[in-house]
Amino acid sequence: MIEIVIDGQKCYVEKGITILEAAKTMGIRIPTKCYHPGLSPSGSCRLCSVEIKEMGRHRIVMSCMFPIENPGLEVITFNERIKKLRSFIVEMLLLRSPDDPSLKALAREYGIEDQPSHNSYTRENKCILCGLCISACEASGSAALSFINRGHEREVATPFDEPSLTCTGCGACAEICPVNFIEMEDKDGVRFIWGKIFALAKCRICGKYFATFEQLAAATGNDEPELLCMRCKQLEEARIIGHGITTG
Amino acid sequence: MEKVLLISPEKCIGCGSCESACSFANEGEFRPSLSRIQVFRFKMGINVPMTCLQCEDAPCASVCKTGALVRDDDTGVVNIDSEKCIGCRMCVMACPFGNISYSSEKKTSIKCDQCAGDPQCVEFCPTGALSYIPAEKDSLDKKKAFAARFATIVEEVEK
Amino acid sequence: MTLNEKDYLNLDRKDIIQLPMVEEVTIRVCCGTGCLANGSELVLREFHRLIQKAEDPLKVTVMADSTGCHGFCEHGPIVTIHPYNIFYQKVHKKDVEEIFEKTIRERKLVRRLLYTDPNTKEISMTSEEIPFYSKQTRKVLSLSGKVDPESIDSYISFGGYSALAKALFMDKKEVIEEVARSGLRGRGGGGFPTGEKWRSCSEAEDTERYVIANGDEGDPGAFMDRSLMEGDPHSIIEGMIIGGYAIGASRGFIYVRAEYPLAVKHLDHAIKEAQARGFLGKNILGGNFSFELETYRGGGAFVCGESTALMASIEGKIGEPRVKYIRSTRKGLWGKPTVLNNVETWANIPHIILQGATPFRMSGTEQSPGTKIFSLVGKIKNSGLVEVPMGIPLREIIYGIGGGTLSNRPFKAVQTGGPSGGCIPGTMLDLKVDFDSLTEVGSMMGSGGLIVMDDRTCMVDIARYFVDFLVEESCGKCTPCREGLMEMQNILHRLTTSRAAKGDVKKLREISECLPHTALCGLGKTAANPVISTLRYFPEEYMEHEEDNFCRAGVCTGMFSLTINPSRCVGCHACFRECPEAAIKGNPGQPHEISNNECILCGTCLKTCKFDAIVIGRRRQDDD
Repeated sequence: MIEIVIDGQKCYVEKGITILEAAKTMGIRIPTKCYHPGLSPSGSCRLCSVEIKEMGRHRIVMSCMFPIENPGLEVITFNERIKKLRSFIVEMLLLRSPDDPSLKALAREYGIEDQPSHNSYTRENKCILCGLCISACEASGSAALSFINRGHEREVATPFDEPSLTCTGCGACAEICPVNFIEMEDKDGVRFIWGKIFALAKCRICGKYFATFEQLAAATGNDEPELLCMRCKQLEEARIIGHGITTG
Repeated sequence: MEKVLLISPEKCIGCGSCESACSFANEGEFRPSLSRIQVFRFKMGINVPMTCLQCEDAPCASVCKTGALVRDDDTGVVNIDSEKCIGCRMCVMACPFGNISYSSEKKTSIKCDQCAGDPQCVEFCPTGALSYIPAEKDSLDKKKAFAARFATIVEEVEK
Repeated sequence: MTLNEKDYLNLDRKDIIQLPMVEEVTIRVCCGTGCLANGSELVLREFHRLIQKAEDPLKVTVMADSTGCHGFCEHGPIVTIHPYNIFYQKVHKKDVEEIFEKTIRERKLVRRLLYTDPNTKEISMTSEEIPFYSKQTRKVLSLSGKVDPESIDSYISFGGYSALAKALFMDKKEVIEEVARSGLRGRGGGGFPTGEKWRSCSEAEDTERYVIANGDEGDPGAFMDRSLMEGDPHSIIEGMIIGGYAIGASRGFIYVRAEYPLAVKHLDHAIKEAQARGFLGKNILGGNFSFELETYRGGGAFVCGESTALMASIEGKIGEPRVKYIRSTRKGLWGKPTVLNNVETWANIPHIILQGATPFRMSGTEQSPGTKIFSLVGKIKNSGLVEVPMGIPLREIIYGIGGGTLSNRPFKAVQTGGPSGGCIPGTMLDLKVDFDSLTEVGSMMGSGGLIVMDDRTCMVDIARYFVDFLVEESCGKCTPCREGLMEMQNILHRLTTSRAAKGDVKKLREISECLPHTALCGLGKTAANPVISTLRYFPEEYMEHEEDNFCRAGVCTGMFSLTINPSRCVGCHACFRECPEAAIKGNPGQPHEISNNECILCGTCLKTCKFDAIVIGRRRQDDD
């Protein structure tokens, strides 16, 4: 364990954890957009900046990635400088997704007045390019998504913008997206996502469409899994047990 | 010390106290649909409570790629770290018993964690259909027997 | 035109000179990229043809070779003739026969192909007599233009690979200490002490280590690394082998910018030759040290010059920077300790090892020892590559070596360090050029680009140019660089096209204050520098653009007016002929006038007038 100081309070943390993780254990909230505890950090949104003092030097680092290695580290998670930098990032993110409620809440918190955008492009809600969907997809084993192009042309896409061969239609990307940008639609037994059409498995008992065949096969390791939704699967099991009681 | 949550369906009267206790303890409201334990009521007064069996070789944990579902070797409980869940629902599909579900509202999978050693369902079960006992050979055998009982189909009570 | 006495003397001397008889003559044709583009390959072929078909037997043996860049690209193609050391410039295919007849057969000079100083009218026979060269200290470039880049024998004949032999007899620690004592700092721009970097890497515990040469030179107008890789590849390779030995690496990579095919060709060839000679491969020079080297062609992204992006690129991943809170010397390429140095840094190593740290420290300053190569471009008379000791005053580079601004207009600023650098104003001409003093004034050494600007350069427009470049090259991974640069670009475009909104400059300042602290990589952190430095030294120009719709340099279209000063106009009629709209009225010999109604403010007359008679003024309110 290493002794460090966060916002004036002494604390002991495990060597190697990040400032963000350490702050969390102390109940200090640092805003993030591209960070997810279940995925490895990319440090791309730049919202979680904090000021550190190490060996007499002050500098700004990203708390989601900065590993606590040396004792005596001093962290300041909020001051006027940090406020200015985070406001700048929120403002920049709002240029991409001006109507996102979570960003608007951050803007209020950081006192950004709703000024007309200095930007000349249209007020359209776009992906904020945090990369969480890509990391989530990679973690799920599909790795169907990646960034394409560079700079302002950067986008998230499947290879060649064509329906991905590896996508199982699990929808984790849509679920994790912080600005709800990824479109996933279930309609008439069919799921549309990333330009791919998936037939949905129909529960043989309740008749509800509950998952894509591809995901079902990936999760069970069985190419012909039982077509039961979670609830009916539980019911079936209960029924079997119940019958055991009456007969056994 | 490892303990097991043992279900004895023959003692269950289908009162639903466990569901209420669970949803209140975990969600702060009495809503059986949010409970991690579900009671299935069949004809002839047969009732079967279903909740996570904390499998030793848990399929839900083995499909989870972000480390959100991890079995604690000391307590034997498969814990969920909701913050690490990315919503892929692989665990829901992998569980052979249907004992793990996904909440779109909370953006996380939901399962029984035995209330960190003090299961509320057991606390409020009036008949002893649910018990929380040290994991010894006897109790483990009973748990296995519960999971293995199967026969022909009985009909569910119309709700 | 009459010649003065001095001209006559010069003329006579160079014409009369009779060169001595020699047994062997070597003709070296510069085949650096600049000269190649000017047709030097045709020149070389023509020499070969003439040598072969020479009917009456020559009294001497003649050889014609290609060499790398001589640095004086403005005056290419360059041909040097040895042992006379004659320096012919602007040689084209049609001139070859004359050189052959006059210089090779008759042993006379071809006067018109010699360099004439535009200021003093002095004619130089050798490169040493030309101020552009005589005022430089060419160490790293000492072999460029002399050595044949495609021949290891040629390199060895100039003493090549003796540094490697010496290093292999030294203890690894001694090699590192020698480099540390030399005080050599990274020539790629960061200026990090090389010895310290090596030491830290050699101390990192691991089984494998790598060395990398960064040859992904991407700054507009910079070509020093290119010239080194193309013209003297072995010096880089030798430096890398020494570095690999010192830190205990077994593999090295030279990351070369995709747009430098000649550099890749020469390096690949040089690596093969070095392998054949036992300088690379298993048991180098019979010892225990084994080292492999390969080139890696970049994918064409500027950001790959950033160390972490470069390593990601070599690993086969997208060339994007990674967050680096752990140094590459501990966790670099494939997570292994890695030393990444610029090619120029590597090329310094053989000199340091061979001559020792103390002689190296003789040039340069205490904090920045040694020499630095700059590419001197822009509105300057002698564009080209120059190598000077660190700490040399800016004035000496621009006026002493560069010969001053192109048309002798007032010097306004010099942009150093490429897109991530900044502009240094004319008032700081006596600034000593080294890592620390450049950083102090808000610019940086960068890889060593120097872009000279005169009073006809608009500083807002310059900032716009660099921000345009960076927007194009930003990888887009982090929010501040991707969005912040785009915002800056929007504002700068408005400022330079009469569409400024109130508060634009303030907003620009705000973004430029936040970007350096929030961006992920070196590119993003320094991306605001062109704006910060121009805002710092030329704030009035920004305010004129925002508030008065006025561009004092006469660059931003529609943001100035043009009139002719009758007392300066001599009626040469040049502007009259060039004006695309026939807006200039007047008879030859008499002062001209510009008709406001017809003038489209394109600025052609500004560039044409040799008498500084065109006056840039503010537009009147009713002009629109």
